Amino acid sequence: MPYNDYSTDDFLADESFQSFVIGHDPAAGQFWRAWVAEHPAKQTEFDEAAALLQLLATGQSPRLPHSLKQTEAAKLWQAMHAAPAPQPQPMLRVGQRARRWAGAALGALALGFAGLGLWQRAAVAPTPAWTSYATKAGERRELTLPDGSRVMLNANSVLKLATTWQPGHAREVWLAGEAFFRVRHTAPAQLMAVAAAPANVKFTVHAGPLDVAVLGTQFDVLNRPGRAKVVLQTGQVQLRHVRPGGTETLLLKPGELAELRPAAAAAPLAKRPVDAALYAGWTSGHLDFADTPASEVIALLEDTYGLHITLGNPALRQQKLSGSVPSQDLDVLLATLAKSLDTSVHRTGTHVRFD
Amino acid sequence: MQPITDEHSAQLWEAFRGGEARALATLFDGYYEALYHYGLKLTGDEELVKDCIQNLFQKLWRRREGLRAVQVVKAYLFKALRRHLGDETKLLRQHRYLLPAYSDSFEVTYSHEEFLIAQQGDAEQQARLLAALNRLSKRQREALYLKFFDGFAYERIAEVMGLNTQSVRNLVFNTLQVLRKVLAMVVLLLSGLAA
Repeated sequence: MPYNDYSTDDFLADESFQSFVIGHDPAAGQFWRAWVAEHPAKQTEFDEAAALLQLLATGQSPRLPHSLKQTEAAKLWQAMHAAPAPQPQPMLRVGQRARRWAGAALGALALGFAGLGLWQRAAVAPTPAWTSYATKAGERRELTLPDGSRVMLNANSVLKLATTWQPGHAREVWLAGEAFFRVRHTAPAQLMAVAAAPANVKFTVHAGPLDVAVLGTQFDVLNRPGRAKVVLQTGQVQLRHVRPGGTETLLLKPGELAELRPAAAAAPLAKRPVDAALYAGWTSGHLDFADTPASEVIALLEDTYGLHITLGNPALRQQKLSGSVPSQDLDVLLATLAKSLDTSVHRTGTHVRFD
Repeated sequence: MQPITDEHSAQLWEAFRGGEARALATLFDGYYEALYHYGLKLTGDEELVKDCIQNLFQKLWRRREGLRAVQVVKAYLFKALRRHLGDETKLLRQHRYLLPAYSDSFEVTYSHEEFLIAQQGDAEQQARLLAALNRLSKRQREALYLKFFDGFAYERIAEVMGLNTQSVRNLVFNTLQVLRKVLAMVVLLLSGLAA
């Protein structure tokens, strides 16, 4: 055995000896304890090396707060179930003309990408036979409801409804996630005002804190943690928001968006005009920009993903963008935007920087 | 929690490459703490380390189809985190302070709680050991950390730090010799503890 000639330094350098002292390797421990018992002549060198290595062995690593790891693990789990397969990177054209963009403030665009978090389950569901439709990350699904209304269900969403609908009864669905509705008008043609209509001709979407009642319209509803939003394309929508102070109602006209952020619970349900077609873009799987200022696209991404975006060169905000991007993958969107602006993109958590 | 063995983590890695989310979550669970402490040692920035680990695992998941098999998953993860942190701190330096950027300029600084000497020696011995450790070069300190806190073999330290195995062997050995000389006194005083 070469160990018979070992000096203190040789012991120090020996990986198996190190493992024995540090305690990472039980087999090495057994071996070295037996070895030194048989070679008492080497006890001095053995002890000296062991003493030094022991000084270096781990004392008490500060314990990591358990909640930190749990939070991070949950975040990863969510992201894993939201991230769709990578897609070929598209390219946006950069417009040279400083034409004024037609739309009003985009604000919080209801793109409804996957991965925005675990949506809240719909409020207490009644008991009869239920049918649920669920979509996975990166999946869209078109459904036909018992009354002939059509629904496009976005990724990571669940729509729940009674399995059978009696003609002439109120129509109700429960949504967690995002969906675009094309609801059939079942009331007499002359009855157009939803506020005045009886319950049995209404179609209601229960979206967390919001009840969205319509007669026959096209509209988008989003109900994800921290946010609920409705964008109306055609017709008329009546919103009801039940909150501690009482119930508030709001009537939407085509091209209007209403948004609720429970974080700002005291704020009333507010509406503003938007480009409704842009909000429905996700139903086709891509977002179309036509001379859209980068500032609007950035606002859209910030609101949709809860990102904080900064630009190295603020002048880039004025840059106009045109083209089509798949709406399912944030990384692709960011990379495309960076490429179009001729910058690099850098993302750490929710912070995104274009330089 | 039982530490994950290298064999087990290699199996988990294969399962994860095949699309099993749970396998990656298990690896995350098994190595999070070690990665976090290592990252913190290198940068001292908790938020940055947290974000980098999160980004690292999310990126692994997205790119799982293009990943190859690895022998020692823990070393692979350490190396990847080190690179991520390097890119980040480089960027931070460029933008915040306009200083030249070296992705390799990590500082591992030791504090006395981390070593057994804290429970054994007196104040003077502690001070000697710490002073000796913190006089070592950055590379020596990092190699020592990987060896004694994470139990990596020379070959794996080489992989993590991007050096060849012989260099790491020399680095650690020279370090131990330096410490041996500096601590001759301490070692004499404490030699009874090794038995």
